[in-house]
Formats: sequence, C-alpha cells, structure tokens
Amino acid sequence: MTRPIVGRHLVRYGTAADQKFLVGALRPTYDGLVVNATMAAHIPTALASFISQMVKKPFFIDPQTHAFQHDVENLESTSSKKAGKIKRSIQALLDAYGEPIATTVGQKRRPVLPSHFASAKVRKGFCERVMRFQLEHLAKRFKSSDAAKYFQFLQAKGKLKTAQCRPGFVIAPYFYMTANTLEKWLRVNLSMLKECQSSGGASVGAQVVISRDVLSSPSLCSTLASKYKSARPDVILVWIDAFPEESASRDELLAFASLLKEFGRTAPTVNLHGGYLSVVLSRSGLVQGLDGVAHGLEYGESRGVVPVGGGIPTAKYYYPEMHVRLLFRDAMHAVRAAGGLKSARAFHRDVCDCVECKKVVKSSPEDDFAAYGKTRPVSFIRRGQPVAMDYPVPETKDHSVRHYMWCKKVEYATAQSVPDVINGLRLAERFKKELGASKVAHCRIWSSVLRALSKS
Amino acid sequence: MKSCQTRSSRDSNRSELELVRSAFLRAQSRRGVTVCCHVPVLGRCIDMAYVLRSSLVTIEFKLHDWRKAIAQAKDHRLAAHHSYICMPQRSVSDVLLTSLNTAGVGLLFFKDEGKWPFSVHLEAPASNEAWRFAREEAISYVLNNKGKWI
Repeated sequence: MTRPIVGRHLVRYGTAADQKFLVGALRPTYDGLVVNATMAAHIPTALASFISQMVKKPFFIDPQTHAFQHDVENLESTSSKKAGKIKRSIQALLDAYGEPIATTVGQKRRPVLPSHFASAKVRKGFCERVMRFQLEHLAKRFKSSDAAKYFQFLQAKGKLKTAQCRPGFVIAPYFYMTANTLEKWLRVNLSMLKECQSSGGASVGAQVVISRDVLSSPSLCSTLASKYKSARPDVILVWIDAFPEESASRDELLAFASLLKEFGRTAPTVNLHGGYLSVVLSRSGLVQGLDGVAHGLEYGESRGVVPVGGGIPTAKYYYPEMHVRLLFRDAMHAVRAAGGLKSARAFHRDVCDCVECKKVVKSSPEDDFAAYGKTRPVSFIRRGQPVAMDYPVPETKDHSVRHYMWCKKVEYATAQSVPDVINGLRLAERFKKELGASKVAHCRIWSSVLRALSKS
Repeated sequence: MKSCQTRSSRDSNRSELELVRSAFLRAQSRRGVTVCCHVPVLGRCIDMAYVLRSSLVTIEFKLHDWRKAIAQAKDHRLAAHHSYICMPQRSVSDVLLTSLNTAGVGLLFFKDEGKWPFSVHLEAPASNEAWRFAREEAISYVLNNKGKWI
C-alpha cells in the first residue's frame, strides 16, 4: 500500500488570497496541501481548478466536522447584512453532511452532542456523506464547469497536463475532545472511524483534536494511544487546540512528543498545526512516524478550535534564527542587535538570505527592511476608547508570507543534527536582552526537550 | 529619589482617557508645538506625541500600571527622540526609577493647573534606538494630523 503522506511539508490552504503563495516560484517549497472543507464547499470549482491545474500536488480535505459541536454563534456570519445567518460555506457543509447536523445545527441552532450519533444508522449515513464530500465534491463540481471543457480541450491537444482532483485519503468525521469530554466523544470518533474503514474504497485517516489539558494527563494520552492503535487508521492527524510551540511548557512539549511517538508507531502521523520544533522532531527521527507537519500562511503554526473572529492583522517577520514570527518592531530590535542594519551583505549573512530578503533588502537595510513593516494607520473607537492601529498594507503581507515560505522550505529541507539545532537555539537566546526573556524562552525550552528526547 | 506628594483622590477618580484629553487640549495651545493623539507606530498606539523644533516626543499615559507603560514607551523609542510615561503626581520608588533608567524612558507628572500639562520628574535621554523609517513616519503623521484627537 502506498503511504498516504507523500511529503513532510504540508501547507494549509486558508483563503483564495493564499493562492499566489502556493504557485510559481513558491510551488517547489512545499509537498502537499491541507484544504478546509469550508473552502471546498465555498469555491469548489475554483479550488478544484487551482489544485488540478496549478498546484498538482497531493492534498486532503479536513472535513471540519468539529465545527458543529461548538456554540452555533461561531458559525454565523459577522457581516452587518447577514448577521445571525449561518455562513454560506458552513451552510453548504450542512447541506452536504445532512443529518444529524442539518436539523440540530441548521434548524434548531444547537450544537450536536455525542448522543446525536448513538444510532448506528445515523452514524453510517453521516460517515458516507462526509466521505463522499471529500472524495467527490471537488472533482464533480470541476467536471461540470466550463473551465473543465477548456482544460479537456487543451489536454487533448497535449498542451496541458492535469492532476487528479481526488484527495490522497479521507478523514473520518471527528469531534474535539477535552479532558472532560474525551470519554464520550472518543467513543463517537472511534465508531465513525470504524464505519468509514468498513466502507472501503479509500485510505481513512483519523483526526485527533484535543485540548492542551489532555496533554497533562498521562492516563488520557495513554487511552488515546491505545484506542487508536486498536483502530488501525491509515494515517493519524493531530491538532492540539491553540498550542503554539513557542509558548508551550517543557512538560507539555514532552507529553506532546510522547503522544506523537505513540501515534507514529500506529500509523504515519501528521501534526496539523506545527512549527519548527515539530519539523525537527520529524526530520531528526526523534519522533518516528511523524511524517508530516502542516502550517498555515498567515496565522501559521497554531490554531484554536473555535475561530476567534479573525483578529487584527499585524505586521510580522519570521525571524529565521529564532524560528518564530516576531512583531515587526521586535524584528527590528533583533535585526539591529544582529548587526543586520550595517549593510545588505551583513543582513543577508546575519539575518536572512532567502529569495525574498535578497529581493527586498538590496542596498540599505535601514530603509529596505521597512518593506516588511509598512502599515497604514486606522483610527476607530473600541469600547468607548479612541484607538489608532497600524494595519499592514498588502505589499507587507506579500513580502512577509513569501519570506516565511522560503524560510520554511529551508527548515523542512535541511537535515540538521540535533546538537546543531540545540547550538543554534542557544545562540538565538542572546536576543533576550533586546526582546525580553519571554520572547526567546522557547529556545531554551526546545533545547531542553530535544536533549531529553535524545536521551530517551 | 522620592516625591513627597501622593496621588490625590481626584486623580484616582479620573480615567486615563480624561488625563490624555486634558493634556492634549492644553498642550495644543503652546506655540511651536505640534501635537497629536493616538499616533500609530510599528503596531503601537502612542497616547500623545508632539513635535517641537523637529524633535518627536512621545508620551504614554498610565494611572497605575507603570511597568506596562514603560514597556510601551520603550517601543516608542524606535521612533521618538525622547519617550516619556506620564502619571498623576505620585511617590516614585527606587524600582520605578531604575526601570525608567534601564529602559531609557523619562517620567512626567500630569499637572492640573497651568498652560503646560506636564512637569518633568525624570528627563528622557535621547533615543539611541531610533529607526529612521519609523521616526519619519511618526513625525509625518503628527504634522499631517495636527491637533487631531482621533
């Protein structure tokens, strides 16, 4: 059987605006895509065309079934015109997935409970529809589009090579588990997985979405590991709710690595929202079986299960030596401390020499580096207080995301030994003088985690 | 160095915003000073900034949490010639003074009386961290939004 994960570097396709960062010169920087079901439901034809004609890389769809277990407010539009109405993309998913969520969430406006999936018949129908959506929705919609006819014409003339618009595997419906709710939802998740496996026709992945507090319970982690081992999924996809590696404690990271190890013994495992530490764990072999690490383009390497409403965009720069995104003003302090403002050569030697930085920082870093932090001021009243904010201009986002993707390519592609990584992190700790201890604390913690895992 | 005065009961009933507003209205009337409130700089929002003889002075107002004020004012040094925090008259502990000196930030006391709303308790040193781009942007914002409250 072919392995469902064909490359370590996975990127989450967030919005249509992300497309330009996934093609052209940046296309070779990553191995595959993770597509949100909401996007597949919202713009199926455009997405199918984008994946099959331009990206031509393996992908899979996150069915996002957990969305229906949270407060329905999270699924409602926030625009003034459609306030209170369920978002179009979510409605499309409700229509595709059907019962029990169509009635419970769509009509009664209540979140689904484990009890809604008590009946084997309900589970079977739900699993079939969720699987069908992943396997067929994009391909079907694409086939019936005008664009498809044009592409078929080009293909017949030998002028175009297209890729299949079928995911590498499907993910069984899944729900989010906290330490308090794990027992009930785990039962539902496992039965859904079993149902999907029995239907045949595609490799089936298990998505395990848990809260951070589960990591602090060895018995719950052990339960998860043993239950999924018995279930034998083809791939395991892990997502810890709002778990930025750079602010996690040593104990949390060790527990996380241990859970990944256990999962890795069962099936190829993917961290769906991971940063540099996960990449090192995967590349170094410290966590065998961690075959992939995914990240997004803008908000990147961690994500809360419940969307927090988008937030205010801020200009950030991925600082390669620290392996984190820094607020632009912090990046400025760090670049200055590293001596990167002395000349373009110094910048490329001591800060970053990626394709984008070479394009942006050409002669005078003092002036050129501003391209990563250009903003426009916007004033407004918030909670009765006047506030003025800097919003990044589109060019700032463009430069920052491109720089980020080039940096990530290096991180995923470079086979560094664990001692070298630890040395690099130790050196990066020198920025604590300029940035404060909390902003570089992750360097010490990651080193400690890597040392502990190397010994075990 | 300790100040002999403590915060009056009037100050404790006043909001930070009222302090900024009062300072802003009086500072505007001073000749040669171009003043503006809520100035965005590198993701921070400066409560009040003014340009005097081509120098940019930034002020972060706080009633209580001086540690937070210093952290913010420290970032203002990327743009400002001189960066201050401003509080109602209060006793100044050694810890506060040391923190101000370490951060390179000055301390102003808010004055209720008089045309100029501040008295200087600790002079802010000239910023040695300024970044030309940020400074030019901030000065240009203040000059283009002269007298602007929001």
